[in-house]
Amino acid sequence: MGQKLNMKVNRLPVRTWNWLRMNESSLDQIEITDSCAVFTEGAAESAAAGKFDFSTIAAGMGKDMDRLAERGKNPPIRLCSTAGGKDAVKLHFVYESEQNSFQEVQVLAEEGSVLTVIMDYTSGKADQGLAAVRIRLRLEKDAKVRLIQIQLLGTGYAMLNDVGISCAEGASAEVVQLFLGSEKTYSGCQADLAGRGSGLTADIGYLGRNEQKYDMNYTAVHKGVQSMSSIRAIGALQDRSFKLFRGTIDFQTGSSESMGEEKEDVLLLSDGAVNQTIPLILCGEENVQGNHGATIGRLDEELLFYLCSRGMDRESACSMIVRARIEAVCQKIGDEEAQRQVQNYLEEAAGSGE
Amino acid sequence: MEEKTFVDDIDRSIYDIKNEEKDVYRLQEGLTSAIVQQLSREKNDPAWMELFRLRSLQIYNNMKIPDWGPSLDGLDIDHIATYVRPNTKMKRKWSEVPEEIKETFERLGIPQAERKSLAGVGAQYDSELVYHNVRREVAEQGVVYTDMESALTGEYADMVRNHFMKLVKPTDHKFAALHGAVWSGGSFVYVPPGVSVTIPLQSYFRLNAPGAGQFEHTLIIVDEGADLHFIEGCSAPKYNVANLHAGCVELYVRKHARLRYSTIENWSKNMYNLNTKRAVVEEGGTIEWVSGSFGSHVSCLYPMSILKGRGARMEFTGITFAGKGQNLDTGAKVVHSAPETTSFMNTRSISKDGGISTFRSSVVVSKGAGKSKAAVSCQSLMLDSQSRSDTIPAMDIRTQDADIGHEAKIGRISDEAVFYLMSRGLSEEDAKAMIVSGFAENVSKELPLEYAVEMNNLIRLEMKGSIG
Repeated sequence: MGQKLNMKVNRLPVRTWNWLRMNESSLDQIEITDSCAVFTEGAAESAAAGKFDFSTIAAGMGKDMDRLAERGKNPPIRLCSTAGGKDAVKLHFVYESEQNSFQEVQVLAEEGSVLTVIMDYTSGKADQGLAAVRIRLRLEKDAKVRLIQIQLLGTGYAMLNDVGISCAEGASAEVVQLFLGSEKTYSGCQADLAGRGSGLTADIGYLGRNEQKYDMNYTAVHKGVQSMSSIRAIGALQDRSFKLFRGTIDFQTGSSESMGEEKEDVLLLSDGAVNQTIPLILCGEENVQGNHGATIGRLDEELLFYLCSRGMDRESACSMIVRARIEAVCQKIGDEEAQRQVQNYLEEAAGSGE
Repeated sequence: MEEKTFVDDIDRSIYDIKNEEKDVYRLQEGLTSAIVQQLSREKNDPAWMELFRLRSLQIYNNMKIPDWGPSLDGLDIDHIATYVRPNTKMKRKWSEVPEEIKETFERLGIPQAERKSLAGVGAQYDSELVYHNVRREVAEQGVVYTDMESALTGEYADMVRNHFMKLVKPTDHKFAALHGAVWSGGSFVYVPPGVSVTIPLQSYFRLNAPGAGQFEHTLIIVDEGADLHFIEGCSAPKYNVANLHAGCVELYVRKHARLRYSTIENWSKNMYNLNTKRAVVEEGGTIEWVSGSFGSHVSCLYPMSILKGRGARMEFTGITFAGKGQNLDTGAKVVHSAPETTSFMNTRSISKDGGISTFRSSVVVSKGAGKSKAAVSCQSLMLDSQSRSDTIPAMDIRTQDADIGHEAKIGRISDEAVFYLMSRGLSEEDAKAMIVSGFAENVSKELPLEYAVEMNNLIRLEMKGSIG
């Protein structure tokens, strides 16, 4: 059995006051002991992706994930969409209780290809364990990739979900993530927008209940001219849940005529919930446009009043508003089966009073 | 090729005049307990203050340099003289101030401003105040405006002891500890309950000595229902060695009182400006910060407001102009710890010619601060791609019953705005100059007229003949 790891993940690209406890997060005594079961639907995995060195693609959770990857028991899953082709792949990660696993996924989208990758993570409702997954995507010229990730793990699970993207000229990545399950979710995503006209769109939805913890770090690194990024996070925090969202738009010198936008919308539904937000814009280029905005607050009283005047009780109205926020991200999944899976999960959770 | 806006460095000719060090008392460079004890003896500290200094030094020695923010590698405290006393005692009349020092302040317009628009003035030269005066009618209202050393042993000694470095503790950070160990000079202000000081008080800090530090302490207590505007200005000539400013400002705003604290900072570009400012605001009270940061080689300045009483308010309005060789890390912090508190930060920054400007902020809304509101708005203008402009705002919200808004924008001078102004008959040069000047309006409109004019002149000076 290997030594347990102490890791620092989700580091801010530029540090700030340590007393805020937002600069990075610590993971202690992490251990990988198992392999996980992954069921693939759609295009078969491809050895073609193996010809590239994916280690050069930086991911959002940081370098300490490399140390974890060294302990992985599964070989990397490699996917490739061939030039000009159009593919869709589903990866179902099915976890059992008490599993501690790491899985690497490498995706090569060749020139002009269009690829959709849907990943869902599930386990038994009360299962415990550690589910660590890192996916790195290399998008060649004009490739389009949609990455959908749906996390519906049991209440005792910790999830480490790491994404790294490299975009060549004209390539664009769309990331849609829904985090609903697990006790703790650490999520990172970094997109290297190196090519002219490359782009990233990330939509993140989360729902915090009970003692759930979300720790996120998203970075769009603009290097190419006319590159574009949009990072939008929407969620609701109930009970004693906690969320820390780090979002960075990094305009590097040479990324002229680029645009970056970051938006966060958080609904706080309990005095026990904690919301931390730190949206950075780093700028070393004159001719760019960067914006970020955050709205953090309570339920809109006028909307609540309206719903109550239509015969709903306050609790149902609240739950409907929260559900609507998750639905807004769910709509972007674009796959009926996956959407149904999310809806079933939400209904089951609502029914069990979680 | 598209033409670019070029904004010149600030004309510092007024500020760069150096006076020769003659007959001054200068403590040995560096920081040891012997130096701190000697400083304490020079200043005739009460016993508790000497002990306080030595404890602060211990804390300083045990603390690390911050691992965030601009590099402080060029600052070597072993080469900083922490105390330089001019060869004069503090005077109540300008005519009695030594000629050379008087001329310096006259060039900076301090006596003229006092005559025209101030209720009182304190002028510090290196480590000590050389002039302090308050208008008779203001003094008759019971307003106390005096140097810190006199306050420490005079009628208000107990009040000073009860408040001195209680808000900014030496354990706060390494340079707060340094301040606790070697502070010298600064002002004490007390405004009695219900008294409204209709015209501002001003302290002006001038650091003339090369390789020296200035560590003035400003303590202001605005009692219940009282009202004060305090202005702080600072400048220094440029030397080839690093100078250090690690002042400390502690502001107590009692129930339903209001304090506006305005700063125009124009230190020279060899200065490390590591200043700490903090206010605590009680029920219904208001703190307003107005801050213009133009000088310094490195600046770390984030005035903090603790909204402790129900309905307390904070407003921060700031502009930062970072030019060649400057790394200005500025912003604000606010803690909402009572219900119905409100805060608003509104900042602008301009970076040019390789300058680095960072806006750094934190908004903390604690559990008991229901029905609180906070808004942050920051805008940055990049004038070339050799410069940097970073925005690092943090929010930590721990109550559901709060409304928090944040927006930030970064970009260049809008072509549409230039086109519009040109269509109204302005030349391109004038149009761009007007946009850059207008960008600073959030600060200038908050200053008294004379100071707004001075600040606008400072900015226009940069623009004149330099656009195109």
